[in-house]
Amino acid sequence: MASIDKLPPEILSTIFSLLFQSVKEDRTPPTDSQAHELLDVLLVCRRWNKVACQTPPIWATAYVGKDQDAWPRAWRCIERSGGLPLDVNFMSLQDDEDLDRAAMALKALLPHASRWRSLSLPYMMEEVNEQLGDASLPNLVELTLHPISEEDENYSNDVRICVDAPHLKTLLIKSYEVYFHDNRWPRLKSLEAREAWGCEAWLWGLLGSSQETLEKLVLRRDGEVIDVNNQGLED
Amino acid sequence: MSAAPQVTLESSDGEKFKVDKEVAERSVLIKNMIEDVGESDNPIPLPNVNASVLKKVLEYCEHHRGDPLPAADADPSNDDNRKRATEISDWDQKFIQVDQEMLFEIILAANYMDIKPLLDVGCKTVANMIKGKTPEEIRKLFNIVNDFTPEEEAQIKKENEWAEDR
Repeated sequence: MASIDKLPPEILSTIFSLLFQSVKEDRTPPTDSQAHELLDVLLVCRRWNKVACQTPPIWATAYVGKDQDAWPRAWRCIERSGGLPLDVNFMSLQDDEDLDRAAMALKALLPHASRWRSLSLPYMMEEVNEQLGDASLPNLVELTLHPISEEDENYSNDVRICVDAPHLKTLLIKSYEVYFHDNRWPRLKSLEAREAWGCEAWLWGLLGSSQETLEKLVLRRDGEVIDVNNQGLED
Repeated sequence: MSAAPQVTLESSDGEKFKVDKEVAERSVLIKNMIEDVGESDNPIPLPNVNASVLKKVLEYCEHHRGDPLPAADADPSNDDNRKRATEISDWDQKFIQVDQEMLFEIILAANYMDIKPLLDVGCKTVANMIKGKTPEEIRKLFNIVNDFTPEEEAQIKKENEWAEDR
């Protein structure tokens, strides 16, 4: 018997939770590294697999990627995460087939939208954006919008996201230029735009009533910080 | 000035350790036993912890004797609480640099004696050992036998591999 087999399941489960929390803390920006780490743990042996499947925190992050099993995997995350708040990450996708699969996964996740704590979304996924529609995300605190693929970084996009997220605190935009049609984020405290070219106009439209609550505003161009807390922007 | 009150702990192999009550009470198990039974000259038996492990656990308790005790109702799923738990101080890192056998015994003792900060240090250390390793590297590190059939392994990969180009 291996020495580590002396540890009871609840301690092994704590170790797995810490491992994933640690991987999560390293993520800037969100990556798929948690999904890879999860697969590695599941493949060690039957005992580890069983304990990992019964450890809700490690299933509370749903990655929707370009794979055929996006939908059933989204379901597993919902079932095994035991009611914990969910972090939903749509990864960069390539073609229409990827988008269809992502949209299917969203169908599984959307009925549990009240559990979403964070959402990371490519901003050109019309299929997904349409499904999201006027979704109510009462517990969403972090929204990240990123290009649908790496080649897509220099396009201007009209983002029709108008999710109702009354507790949203952080908005991270990793795009060239995006427009919002609504703002129901009365508690927004932090906004960071990664490629903020010509953004002033939409920025003020976006902020709307959030201007009063915003504590941190960071604008970047080509990776360089061009403005912090609106020091250089004119109203 | 009167001497600090002391208690005697007895390991599973019969060795006795006389320590300050304040040090022993880092263990919630011992603290509750003292509260329930009252102060006594009789040694407190710890049938699940042998002398070498108890010595090490008491070294930890002695070093952290003045630390604030963790809140009993701290929610481990709360990000703030967990973030603190993932950090290991320099002293704790040196303290926990032991062989695997001792590491797991310390974790078991911390769990049995209900010393949450020590349990966290032990669990985080194991988590760090696992982090970034392949299944085969993890098995080799902990001497774990792969008891999956090739078909089971393939099924788990199929179910959980999110990207085609991994």
